[in-house]
Amino acid sequence: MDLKALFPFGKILGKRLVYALITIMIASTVTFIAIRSMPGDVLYTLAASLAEELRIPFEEARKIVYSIYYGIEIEKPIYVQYFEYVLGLLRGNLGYSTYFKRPVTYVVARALGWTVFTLSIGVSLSFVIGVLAGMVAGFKRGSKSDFIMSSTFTVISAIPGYAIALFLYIILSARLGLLPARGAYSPDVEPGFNLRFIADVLYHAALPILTYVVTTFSGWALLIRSNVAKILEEDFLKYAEARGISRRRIITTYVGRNSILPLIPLLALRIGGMIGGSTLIETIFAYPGMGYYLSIALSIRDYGLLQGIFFMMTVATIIGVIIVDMVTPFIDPRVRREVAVA
Amino acid sequence: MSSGAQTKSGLYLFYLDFVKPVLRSGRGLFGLIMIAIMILMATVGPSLIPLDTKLKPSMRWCLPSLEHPLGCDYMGRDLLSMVVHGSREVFLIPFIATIIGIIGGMSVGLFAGYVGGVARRALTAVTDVWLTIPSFPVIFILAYVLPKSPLTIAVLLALFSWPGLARALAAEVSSLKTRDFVEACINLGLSKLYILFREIGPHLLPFVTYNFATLFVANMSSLIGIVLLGVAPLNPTNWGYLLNQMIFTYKGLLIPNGSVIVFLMISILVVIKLGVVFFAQALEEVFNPRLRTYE
Repeated sequence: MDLKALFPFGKILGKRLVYALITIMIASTVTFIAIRSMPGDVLYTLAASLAEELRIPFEEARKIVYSIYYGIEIEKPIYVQYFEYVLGLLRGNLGYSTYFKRPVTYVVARALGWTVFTLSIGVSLSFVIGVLAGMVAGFKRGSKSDFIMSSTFTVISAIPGYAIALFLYIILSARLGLLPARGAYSPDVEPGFNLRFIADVLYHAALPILTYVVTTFSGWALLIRSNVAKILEEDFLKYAEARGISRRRIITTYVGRNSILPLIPLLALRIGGMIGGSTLIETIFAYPGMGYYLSIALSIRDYGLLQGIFFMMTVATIIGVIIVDMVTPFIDPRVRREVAVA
Repeated sequence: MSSGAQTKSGLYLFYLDFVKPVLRSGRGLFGLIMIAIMILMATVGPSLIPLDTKLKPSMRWCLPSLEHPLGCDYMGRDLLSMVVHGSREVFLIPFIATIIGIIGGMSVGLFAGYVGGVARRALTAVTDVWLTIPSFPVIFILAYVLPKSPLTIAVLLALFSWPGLARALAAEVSSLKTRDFVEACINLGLSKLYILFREIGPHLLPFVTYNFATLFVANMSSLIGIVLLGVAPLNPTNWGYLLNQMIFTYKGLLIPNGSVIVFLMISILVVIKLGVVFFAQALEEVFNPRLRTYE
C-alpha cells in the first residue's frame, strides 16, 4: 500500500470543494432572495432614521442601507448585485445586524460554539446508543425482544424533533423541575475555565442534547438492526464461526464493522438536517445557539442577522460533511481502495 | 365460496390481496382508522363542529372534559373545534407538496436510472449537494419572505422532498434493467417508454407508496414546525400557530394546565403521524411478503 492509498485526501477534498461551492451558491441565493424581498417598511424605517442621522437624502440613505447592512449595491444590475453579494459573503462580510447594532460576525462568534457543542455531543451519543441498541435488536432478530425494540424505535423515529423537545420540556423541566430549560448557563456563574462553570454549562445543555439523542438514535438503531440481520446470513460469518474465531471478535469486527460502515456516508447527509432542525429545538429551550438567533432574527425582522446566521449554518454543515468524508477512508478500507484506484 | 370468488373476482381478489392483510395486522388497522379520521376531519369536520370563537377567560387552559374533549386553549376556546378547523390546511398543503415531490422524484429517478451512466452520476452529485443544505431554515426563510399562498408553501416543501426518492428509484431501476424480463421486452422490440412504465413501473409501486406516506408526514411536521417558529399561517387555526401561541405568547409550558394542553396537542400530531407510518408499513408488507416476520 503506497502513501497515496493511505492518504487519499486530494481526490475527496477536490470533489467536496466543488460541492461546497455549489451549496454556497444555493444558500446565498436563498438569502439574496430574502433580502431583496424584504418588506418595504423595514427598509423604510432603517433608511429614514439613517437619512435623519446623517442629514442626507432618503434615496442615498436607502443605497447605504443596502450596501452597508446587506452588501448589495442596489444601483447595479441584479446579476452584478448577486455576484458581488456572493463574493462579499465568501470574504466574510456576513452583513450587519440592525438589532444588535453590530456586524453579524459578532453574533455568530457567540452563537456558533453553543450549537457545535450541543450538536456534536448529541450526534456522537445518539450514534453510539443507536448502534448498540440496533446491534442488540439485530442479534435477537425475530424474537419477542427484537419486536418490542424495533416497534419502539419506529414509534420514536416518527415523532418530530420539536415534539420530543416539548415532551422533554414538559416532563423533565416544567413538571419535575429536574433540568433547566433556558439559556446556556446560569447568570450567577462566572464564565471561565472552572469546574462550577463547566458543570453548569453541561447542566443547561442536557435538555437540548437529550432531545438530539432521542430524536435521532432510533433511526440509526433501525438501520443497524437491518444491516446486522443481513450480515448474520452471510457465508463468511458461518465460515468464521467454523474456524473457531471468538464470539467477541465476530461481533465487533465481522458484524459490527460491516454494519456500521454503510452508515457513515448517511451521517454526512444528515448533518445539514440536524443543524437546520436545531433551529426549533434551540428556540424551544431558549438555548443561545445559531438556530435560536435565526428565529429571533425572523421575529424582529433583522434581515442582516437572518442572512448571516443562515449562511454560517450552511458553512458549518459543509465543514461537518468534509470532516466525515475525510475520516471515512481511515475507517473503511474499501473506500480507501476505491479512491486510490479512481 | 369458490363460485362467489369467481363472480366478483376482481373486487374479491383485491380484498384478499390488499385489504384483508392490512386489516389483519394491528398496525395496519390502526393506520387505516387514523387516515379515516384525518379525511373526515378535513372534509366534513368543519361543518359538523362549529368553530368556537367565544373568549371565555374563566375557561382558560381548561382540562379535557365531556364538554371539551381536548380541553380549552389560552383563550378558553374549545380546542377540538380549533384542531378540526386547522386540519384542512395542515393536511392539504403537505399532501399537495408530497404529490409534487413524488412526481418530481419519480421523473428524475426513472430517467436517471434508465439512461444510467452520466445521468446517474449527475443525479448523485445533485442530490449529494441538495441533501446537505439545511432544508428546514431554507423553507422557513423563504416561506417567510415570499408571498403567502398554499401553493408557494407546498412547492417549498416539495423542493426538499424529491432527492431521496429520486436517488433510490434510480438505483432500483438500474438494477431492474438488467433482469431477464426486461431483456426479453427489449428483444420483443417494445418501446422504451412501454418497458419503463408498464414493465418496470409496477415493481416500484410499493416503494413509491411507502415514500408517499413518509414524505407526507415529514412535510406535515415541517409545515407545523415553520409556523410554530413564527412564519405567519394562512389560517389562524393552523396547528403550528396554535402551538406557537400556546408556547411562546401565552407561556403555556410554565402553567401546569397549559403544559397538559400542549402535551395533548403534540400527542395528536404524533398519533396521526404514527398512524400514517404504520399504514404505510402494513401496505409495504402486503406488497412485499418477505417483510412479514412477525406473523
